[in-house]
Amino acid sequence: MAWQFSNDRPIYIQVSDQIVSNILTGVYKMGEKLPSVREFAVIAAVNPNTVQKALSELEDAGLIETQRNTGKFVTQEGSVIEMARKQRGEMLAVEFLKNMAALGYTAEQTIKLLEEAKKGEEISDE
Amino acid sequence: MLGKLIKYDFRSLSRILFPTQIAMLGATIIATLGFLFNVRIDLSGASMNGGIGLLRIIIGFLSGIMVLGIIAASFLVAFIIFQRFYKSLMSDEGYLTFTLPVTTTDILWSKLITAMLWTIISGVVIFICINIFLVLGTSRRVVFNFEIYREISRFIHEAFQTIGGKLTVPMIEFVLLSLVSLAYSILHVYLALIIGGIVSQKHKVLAGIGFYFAISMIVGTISSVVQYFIGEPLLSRFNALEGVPFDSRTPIEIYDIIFSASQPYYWFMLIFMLALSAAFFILCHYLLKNKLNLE
Amino acid sequence: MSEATLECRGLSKYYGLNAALHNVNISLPEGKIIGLLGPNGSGKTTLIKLASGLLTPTEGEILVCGCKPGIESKALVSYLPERTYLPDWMTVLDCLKLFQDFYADFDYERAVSMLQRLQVPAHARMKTLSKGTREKVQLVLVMSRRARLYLLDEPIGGVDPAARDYILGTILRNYCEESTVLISTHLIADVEKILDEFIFIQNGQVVSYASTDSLREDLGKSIDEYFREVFRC
Repeated sequence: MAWQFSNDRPIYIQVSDQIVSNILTGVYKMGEKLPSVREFAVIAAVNPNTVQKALSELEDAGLIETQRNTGKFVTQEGSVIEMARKQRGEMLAVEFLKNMAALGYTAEQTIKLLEEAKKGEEISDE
Repeated sequence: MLGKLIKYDFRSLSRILFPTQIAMLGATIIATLGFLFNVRIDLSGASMNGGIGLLRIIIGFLSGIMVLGIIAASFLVAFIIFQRFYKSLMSDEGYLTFTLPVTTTDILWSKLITAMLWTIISGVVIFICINIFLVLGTSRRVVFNFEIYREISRFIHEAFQTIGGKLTVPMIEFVLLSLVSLAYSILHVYLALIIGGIVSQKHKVLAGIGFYFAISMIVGTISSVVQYFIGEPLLSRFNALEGVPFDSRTPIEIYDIIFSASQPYYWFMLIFMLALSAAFFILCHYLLKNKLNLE
Repeated sequence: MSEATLECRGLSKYYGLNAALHNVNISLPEGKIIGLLGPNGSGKTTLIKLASGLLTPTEGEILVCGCKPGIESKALVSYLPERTYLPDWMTVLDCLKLFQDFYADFDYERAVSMLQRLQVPAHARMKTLSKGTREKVQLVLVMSRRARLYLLDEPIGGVDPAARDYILGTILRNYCEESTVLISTHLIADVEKILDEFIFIQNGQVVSYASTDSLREDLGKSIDEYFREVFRC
């Protein structure tokens, strides 16, 4: 299944976002070997140059490492991954608050709503 | 690369033509036997009544069809050659032909050489067919009739005894002229098909046939002009032979006189045809390279 | 002197008085996948035919890796026309052998394994295959060459979305990294993810030539949106 992309941002940024998500959700585990550029290109149905660009961004961020002749691997530094997780979480939270504000909720109301939703989920889990 | 092109062109022709030639040989044998059967029954004095009469009619009819089939097969050779040319250059196949890493010159040479080869092959097969008929179908008494070969070999033997080695030159000249006029005829059709394909949008082949006659007319005009200025003076050398007292000459002398008188005209004809063929070839090449736009 | 994979200088092609292409000047670098995009009749196919050597320019010149169209350029170009062009009497295997005979850069093993994966019968004659299968055979042949320039004319026109994915996947999997791929199409949304750069062409003239990323970064637009804007009726 090809990845989905929106029209407003460069594709390489969206590709790197997607790869980060895959690392954070454990699709690509810590220290694991990543698909090659061409394999990524076919999986995502994008240009290999785009993948190359996305991967080098992630390399700059320290999330992946190149080992000579063997390919690219997810970093073994847990702290780097945790930092990325935190960043992603903050980003989602800010975005969520922004969307809720657009609906007319204050931050406090939103938090309350979240607590109610959490309770509801706990009940339905039982 | 020319060799590879010839290999593929030859194969694409042989695929259809080889079976037709085999069929032609088979048909000849059957027709000959049928003919022979007819002749033999006739000899035995059997009457036209009853089953034998009907059989004779059927066999006669079949032999007739076979003869027609042989004639049709030789037309088929020409048809297939030109159809293959048209398809591989002017139809969608042209996209493949013209993007191969070969020159247009090589493509044309390959088409010309394979067409000539197949015409010669089919000529040889027809020659074999005629001989099958001559050997098997011409005698009421023997199964294999070699009488005619005895006649021919006697004639050749005599000719060689009187004129001898001098026959080699006219024989080579004859082969040369045949080859050149064969190339000329093929290139004539090729050029017509190419022009038709470029000029017409819908009826490319029909236009090709039209251009065939148009080219014939142009060539006719050119050749009568050239003939008038160059050919006639050369031909007129034969007129000089009128006063020669042939009675008092040996056959070798007569042969020498006629041969040497014919030589200038022969070379004129050969060079003229060669020039026309070359012109056709160059025109074909120019049009394919610069004017052809495949749909 | 830098050597572009495809270079057009003042390139024009006229049919009689009609200009199919007029004064085209572009230089395509190596290692890129480039879209040749434009409405029908804009000159896409004419440009591709000129690059493949099927047509001769009326004016100007076109160079493939520095070579004028001819034997050398044809050996470097792998061209997929928008029609089925393999002789219908040949078997699939015959076609493979033909490519191997004429193109030094043809990877026979790769072609065989791709056809096996597609379950195309090697001994079937082309005329017995469906149109879709024939097109796949052609794509396999063209992409099995290690060419410098791939010219793909409407490779995904008239096929269903599944086949479209297969075709784009085949292109991505098989093209040479150092080579340039020029894809002509009017189905922009389907190809834009795989394009490095794109050329807009209209009425035989190049309207715009830019990189996909810069379009998104500068204008925040996809090629598809930009195309609709430029070619608004």
